[in-house]
Amino acid sequence: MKALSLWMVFVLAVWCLVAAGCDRGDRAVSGGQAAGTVTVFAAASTTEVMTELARRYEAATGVKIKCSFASSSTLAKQIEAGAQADVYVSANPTWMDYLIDRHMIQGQTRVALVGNELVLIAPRGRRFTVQMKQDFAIADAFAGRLAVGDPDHVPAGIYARQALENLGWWSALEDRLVPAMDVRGALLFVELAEADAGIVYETDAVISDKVEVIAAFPQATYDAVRYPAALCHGASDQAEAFLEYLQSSKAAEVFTKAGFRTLNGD
Amino acid sequence: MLRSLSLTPEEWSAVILSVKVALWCVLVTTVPGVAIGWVLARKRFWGLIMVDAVVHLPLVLPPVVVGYVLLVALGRRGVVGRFIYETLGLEVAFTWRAAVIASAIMGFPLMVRAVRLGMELVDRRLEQAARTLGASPGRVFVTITLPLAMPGILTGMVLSFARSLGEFGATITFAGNIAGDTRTLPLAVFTYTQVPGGEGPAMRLVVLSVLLSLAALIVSELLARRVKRMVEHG
Amino acid sequence: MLDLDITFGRGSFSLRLQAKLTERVIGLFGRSGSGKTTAVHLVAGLLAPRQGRIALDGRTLFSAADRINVPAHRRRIGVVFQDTRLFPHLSVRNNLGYGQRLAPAGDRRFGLDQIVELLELGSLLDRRPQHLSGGERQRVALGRALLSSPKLLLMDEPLAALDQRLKKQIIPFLQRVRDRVGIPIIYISHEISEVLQLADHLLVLDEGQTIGCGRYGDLAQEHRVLDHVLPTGLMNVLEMIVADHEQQSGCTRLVLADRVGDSDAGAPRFELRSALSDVAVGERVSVATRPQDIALALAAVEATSVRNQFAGTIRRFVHHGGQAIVELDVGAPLLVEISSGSFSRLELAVGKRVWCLLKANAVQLLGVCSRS
Repeated sequence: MKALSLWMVFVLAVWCLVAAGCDRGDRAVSGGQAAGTVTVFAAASTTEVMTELARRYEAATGVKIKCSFASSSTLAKQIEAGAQADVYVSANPTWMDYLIDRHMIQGQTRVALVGNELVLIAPRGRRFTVQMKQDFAIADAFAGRLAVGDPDHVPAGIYARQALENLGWWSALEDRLVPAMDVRGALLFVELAEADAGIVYETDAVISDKVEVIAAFPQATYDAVRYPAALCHGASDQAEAFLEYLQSSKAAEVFTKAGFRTLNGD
Repeated sequence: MLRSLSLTPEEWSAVILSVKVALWCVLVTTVPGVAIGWVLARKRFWGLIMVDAVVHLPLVLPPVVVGYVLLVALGRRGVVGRFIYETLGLEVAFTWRAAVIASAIMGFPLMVRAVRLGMELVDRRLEQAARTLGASPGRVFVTITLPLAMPGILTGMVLSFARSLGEFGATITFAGNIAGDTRTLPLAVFTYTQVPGGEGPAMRLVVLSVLLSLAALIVSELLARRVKRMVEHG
Repeated sequence: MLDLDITFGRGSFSLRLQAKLTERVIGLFGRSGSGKTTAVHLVAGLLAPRQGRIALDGRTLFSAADRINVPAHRRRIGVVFQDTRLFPHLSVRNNLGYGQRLAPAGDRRFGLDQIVELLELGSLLDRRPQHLSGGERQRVALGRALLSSPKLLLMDEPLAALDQRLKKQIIPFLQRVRDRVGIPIIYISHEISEVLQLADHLLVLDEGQTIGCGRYGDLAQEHRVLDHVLPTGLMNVLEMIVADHEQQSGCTRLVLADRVGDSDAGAPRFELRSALSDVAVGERVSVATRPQDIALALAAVEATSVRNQFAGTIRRFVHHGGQAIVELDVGAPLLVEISSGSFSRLELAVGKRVWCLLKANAVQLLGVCSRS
């Protein structure tokens, strides 16, 4: 019996050493410091385009880019709580300001990256007629629910609420909203036909073949969608270079291809 | 300080919704749970081990997986959900019904295990005696087996209730996180922790969750003791 | 009344029961493991035989050939189990009433009050089984089975779990049921003296086989039965009445209660003396003596310490394994066991009058009995 427990302690000790050693080994291979990696927290609507840009940058420079995508509000909360991000890309200025106020962002590095447009979508094959004007009876135009990002905090939801209020449609549709945790959640609802309509960015609608765009919201009905990007405090040197890359013409090509609006001198 | 303890309407709706979903969950799982618990406790046939395994699957699978399977099956475009929507006009996914279904499925193994244990403790010789006195198998079940297995059944119901109060992964995947409709307590707490400025509500709801769970456990203990006394001493 | 012709097997155990039982009370006797409890379960419908037929009062309960197997709850066969099996979540009253409610309305033979009076359960009605003594529980179990108005009552070793004192208490109740209730009874036990207090006809089992079926006196002359019973010992059980207690000699005098058979009506009744007991004069008691404790002599013996000397006529005998089992008529049948050698030496034969010697200590008072 004693021999057995001694043996077990030995095995446990070896396992601990190996586990610890593996971890250290990883870091050694990657260059010994987190500085070899750039962590990017970016709005959910930029998932595909950021991933593509990261891939190209990695291929070109060998610097590893780690991306985390969620609603800009959620990401802001995480950064505020101490998440180690290097670059933050938000879908609206509000959450960028939020972090700047809390001294989490190097304010002077802030740039406006790209823009986007808001569209009304429906599940493929279930489109309905709509006219983007005040007296249109939107409540009768479709039967079920309207999926949006949560209007309380998700940028796409905030823009959507603005547009609906300015069109006078908010009160008619308020009870039929399905608020999602980020804009991609809203897209999913429409893809699954759990909602008969949704409000997402044009770039989101393009990605999915299970939805179709019915109409674009008039720009006048909502604040211009702007994606500010900046460096967080304590960001690595490589982070600055990546932020530069995001503003380059090469990156602009990728953004445009995905449907984002490039900004000329903002 | 007191004002920070009182709940906003959204928080209240999360609490009430959680209790409502949990009560419905118990309602929905009790009869099938008793039936299956009885079959597993009393019967012997080849497929039994498969039934046992399938019943316990939600205990072992990640809740999100269960939620996703439910979505594929019962969503509007789902295998079964399609018919339900087209013939009955009934929406299942992303409604409070989905929250009940998610809780029911996740809590079912707990119900079945408790019921089965309760049934196995019922002396089969008593059931034999009842048969010799003229009781048909159905009557034996209702007059002898059920009353004597009641402590186990009640335990199952409480476990199901408590599991429902804490159900997250399957709920958020199948029922979504729609305030007022499917945002139960755990989902509300999660949402508030994800959103800037949500610390206050999150903390209030955490305290409430603890109180609610404690209440459920205390009630269950008192009930179990009561029933045990009734069965043993009258 | 009960027609049995069945086989049953489970693992290495097999049972073969073949009997036509017509008596009102039958004792099912055999050692532990002989298959008695299995037989009860088969007759009651809790187990299914592999082959054969069971019929009660002409109604087929089981037939392998015709694929009939009436389920237990429809057989109207009551069972009193060794472990009572009272329902713990019901009061005594509700236990008693459980089967009563289920009997078809036209068939209900007993009222609750009747059975409560018969078995003296009045003070127990509102108690729970857990708060009853072993003897009280067994009486409730008996009452419960009776109230379901069965066509046949099986008592599966109901006294096995009780101590001597309780057994003595309960047997009069069993006898009361036997005499007043009129339902056929099969009483199962491995204790011969217990069985003989209730039944004169026996079905003897050993290792799953039917060894013998018939009157006890007849069975005692059969070799097959003696093969199995002799090791545990034969027994004489007689119903006698306490005549008086003789304080000086330290004996209690007992007189045979009923004459049996064709014995001489004018002759004085058969008497025995036992060690002094405290049973009241006039009480009817069951008295047991072992055949091997009785010695035979060709003439009365003077000046002997033996307190019991009486004469009897040899009715029949059988030699078995070096012993002679002799049935005497002393006013009632009495079995005596002596060596075959002694039997020949004394030149005993049927019809011969012999004297029996029996020590008072070898006369055992089993308990008060009830007879109406």
